[in-house]
Amino acid sequence: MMLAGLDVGGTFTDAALVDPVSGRCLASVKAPTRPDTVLPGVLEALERLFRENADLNPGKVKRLTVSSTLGLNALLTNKTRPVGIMALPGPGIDPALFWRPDPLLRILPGAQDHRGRVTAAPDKKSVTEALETLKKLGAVALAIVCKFSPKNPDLEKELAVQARLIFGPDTPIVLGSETSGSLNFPRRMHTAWCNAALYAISREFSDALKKAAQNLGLVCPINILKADAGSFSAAHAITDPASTMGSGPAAGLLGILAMSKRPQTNADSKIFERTDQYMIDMGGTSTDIALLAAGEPLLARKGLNVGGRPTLIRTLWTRSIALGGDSALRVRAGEVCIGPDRSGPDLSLQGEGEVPALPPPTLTDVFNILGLASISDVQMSRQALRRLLADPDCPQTITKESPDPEKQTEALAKLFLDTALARIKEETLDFLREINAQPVYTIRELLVDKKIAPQGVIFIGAPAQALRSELEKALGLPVKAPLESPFANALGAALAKPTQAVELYADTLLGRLTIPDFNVEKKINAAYRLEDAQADMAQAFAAAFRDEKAVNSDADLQVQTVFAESFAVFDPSGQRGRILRIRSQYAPGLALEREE
Amino acid sequence: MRETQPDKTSDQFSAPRAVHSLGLIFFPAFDWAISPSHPEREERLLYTQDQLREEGLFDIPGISEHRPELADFSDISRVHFCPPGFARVAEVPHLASAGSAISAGHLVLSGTCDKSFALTRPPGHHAMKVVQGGRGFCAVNIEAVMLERLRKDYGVRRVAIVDTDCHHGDGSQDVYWHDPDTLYISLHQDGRTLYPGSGFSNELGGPQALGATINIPLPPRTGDAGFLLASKEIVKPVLDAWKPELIINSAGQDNHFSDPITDMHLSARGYAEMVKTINPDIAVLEGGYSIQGALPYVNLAVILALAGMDFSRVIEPAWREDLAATSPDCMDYIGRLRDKTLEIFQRPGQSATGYRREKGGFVRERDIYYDTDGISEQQSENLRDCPNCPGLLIIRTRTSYSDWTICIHIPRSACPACAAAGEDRKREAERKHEAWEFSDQRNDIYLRG
Repeated sequence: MMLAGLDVGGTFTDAALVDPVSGRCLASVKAPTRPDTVLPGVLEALERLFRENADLNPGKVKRLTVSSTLGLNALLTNKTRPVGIMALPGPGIDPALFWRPDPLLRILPGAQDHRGRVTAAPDKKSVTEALETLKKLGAVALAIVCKFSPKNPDLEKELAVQARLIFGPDTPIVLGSETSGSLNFPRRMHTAWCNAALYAISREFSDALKKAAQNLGLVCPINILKADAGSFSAAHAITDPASTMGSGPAAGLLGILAMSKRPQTNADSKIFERTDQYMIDMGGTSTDIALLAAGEPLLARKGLNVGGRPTLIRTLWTRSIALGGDSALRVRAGEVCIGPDRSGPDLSLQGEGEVPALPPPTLTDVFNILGLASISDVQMSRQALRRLLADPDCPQTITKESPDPEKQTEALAKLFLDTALARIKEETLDFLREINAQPVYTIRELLVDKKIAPQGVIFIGAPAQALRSELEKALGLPVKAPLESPFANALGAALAKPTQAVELYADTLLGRLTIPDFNVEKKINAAYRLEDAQADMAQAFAAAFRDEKAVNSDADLQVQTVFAESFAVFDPSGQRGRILRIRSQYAPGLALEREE
Repeated sequence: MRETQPDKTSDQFSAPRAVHSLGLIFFPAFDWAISPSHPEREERLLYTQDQLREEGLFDIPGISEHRPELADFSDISRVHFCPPGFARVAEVPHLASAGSAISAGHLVLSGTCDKSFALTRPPGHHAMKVVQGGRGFCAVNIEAVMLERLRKDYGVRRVAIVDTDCHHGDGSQDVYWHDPDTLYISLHQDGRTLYPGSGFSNELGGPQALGATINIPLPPRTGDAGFLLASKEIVKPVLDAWKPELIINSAGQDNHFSDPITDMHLSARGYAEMVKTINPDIAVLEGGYSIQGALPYVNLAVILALAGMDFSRVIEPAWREDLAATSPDCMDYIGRLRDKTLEIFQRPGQSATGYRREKGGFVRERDIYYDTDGISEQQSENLRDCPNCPGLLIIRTRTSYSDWTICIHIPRSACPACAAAGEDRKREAERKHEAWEFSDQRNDIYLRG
């Protein structure tokens, strides 16, 4: 059996077939990505993958997972269609403050409180008026979001019924409660908006993909990669396209994770198995840091931010530093500066009629001079750095140390390298501090004080091989730089497994249980306990992922409980009951099969 | 990894911005209760947490949430004498709650935030200088523990505590009773109608700190207008005249019209207006037991007020104009209270009530009841009549369960003579094999024997 992965990048669309036991790439192709449309590249890559590898039977593909920039591009280039948003905020902060001036945002009366009790009924007349206005303004999709709807979706559903009457059966109507079970009303508004805006594009893509797969003889399930480094079915992606935005970094992380697990690149793979690790990716203009916690990609506490919209989309927790191989090096007032810009002809220094000034040297020049790499002509690198030595702003310590210009150049190069490594170290530690400074809400957590403590670093990107031992010295941690494949992202997509994180809310006094992400609503009685809720949660996961059973190992579909809380509740009326809150998940990771 | 980063933001959608940066310590102690059905139980801040999260509050630039630290016994010994031993009286939750307050203090004094608010439990303002047990849901005075730590770490001196809990903060008043550097102002429901039955206008501070305690007992059913009158025309001018370096608000939320154990008429927006007027640097949650109908809204409104943001839409579902109203009679009463209080503040007089002079000192005898633990305490207090400093304080204390303990307190600004007298008294206690506790605030030394 095989896994297929497909990644849409800015320049190329890559496809790969992967062996699910070793995680090795069996076949791969690159097709150009068209600047304004994703689908042709996807279809070409898929078609060529099987045509050029006729020995590999498409019937043996267990799953195809696609990581695409479709949704993100549509959003960033404003190619989405107009969405009307109906918000029922009730008391609190004015939701318009989290939005922008938008005639398609309608704030309506009607409210629910923190337990999901309706405290003010919506006004039928103003709802109808709002819907008619939205229709007149050209809205072709709707998002309906009520505060505290994850605890009780009734008001949203009531409004959806009214909306159907006015907008007809074919208009996409997205409810906040279906979007996410997390409590954050402004983010739920933005996420529901994204889902409504991307619905049509996502449906078209999904249909085309299915047709193409059929034509190629692919009979397997098709999944779409998400920002949380997991995947879900293409059918699910139609109603929740927002989650597929920002899947690029997730594909990359999974790919590198797969490559770093390969036996030939590391003899000490066991150390990296279930421990905390930094993942540092040094590119041309930036260095990105991510974390693996006990071997699993660490997800951010807050959701993805797309096009300025804060959402509830689960995503990797990363930090980006404006420092990379192409970062411009300068001297200013006796200090060395790196970046934040990429080196290029410095037009600011160029007067009229003058010869264009030479671009400042880069960190790559420094690697060349110090013999860490030989990427381009070392002499050119030395000349570039020597220009800085002639600058009166150059640190005095360098020029005073030795009269030999060669030695001065090397000393300056060393200073730049040390400064860059110090920046990376400082940001890495600060990132870890940020992660470990999460608030806690119980005495137990305050006493246990569980913290993430990375044991090593997986280092990738063009300068990784050259800088590996230098970074090891700087961070004081073992650093490994796995050999990279140009198909890392496609490989990562292929090896993604299904993920989901959901909340359950149960209130025995109100007799109500909801699992918003799975659209589960249920009546419960006074005897309902945490054990019952956990059983209901497991059942809901099993029902929602029934189709995935055939494709995934049981180990991949383990429901993890993130937290499970039970509160004894005493109503002002004197009634006793229980409020339960559970968050459970399928965590991201690699869908590697165990060797027989 | 490439392209999008989770925090690539554009200005297209900007969240409302806090005018004053505000650090929040939210520590609901979700795994602790005094007893399962006690008002001080796990559920107390549950709805508040849901409300704050659902509002998207932590996405607002300038509002941040921070992890609390755990206070230790040395922090508590800076404030309290505790003859039974801290381990018998203070549990981990009290250390966590005091630690939350300390963390909130650090946020402001270190310059990380303009203001801070510790939403923590259990409360502390009924815990007095001597702690023999639990009183009014409190065992450790969390504001005092924070303040003494801040004085040690940052050298702040003149500090005002404005207590807006519905109950008189008799503990905070007692801790700072003899301290002329700490102005304690309490707004509360009149002690003739509510626990703990103290906090009258004539309680003005000890003999050497007269005027550093101000009590504003408000009549039952005081609403938004009444509280606003009291805070704008009493608290504000007193603060302006006294000029503290730091203002701490003991932010109890039981003046709310829906609170089950009090009888006041304040609304969420009324609370916010009051906080805006007092303009504290640090707020610490105290009581408040209408956990569904009041706390989610009052906390939200107070947070917005501290951050300098609009709170006009924070209208609790049960709100009606008459529920937050103040009667004309009540307004008149508060007007007279204002005139009297301001007059007393300007001329606090020469002698504190309840003291007799005895051999170069001021003496007072008291009985204190610990309602949480059912303990009766007998206290005899002796303050050295010193012209140069607040004076050496010696408290003799015993309870129904324990024999006399001699508590010796050398204040921060003690003169050499008072300090020497304190050292002498400690040696005498050792010689006589008395039980003793010794606190030297000047050198941050706390001993017991």
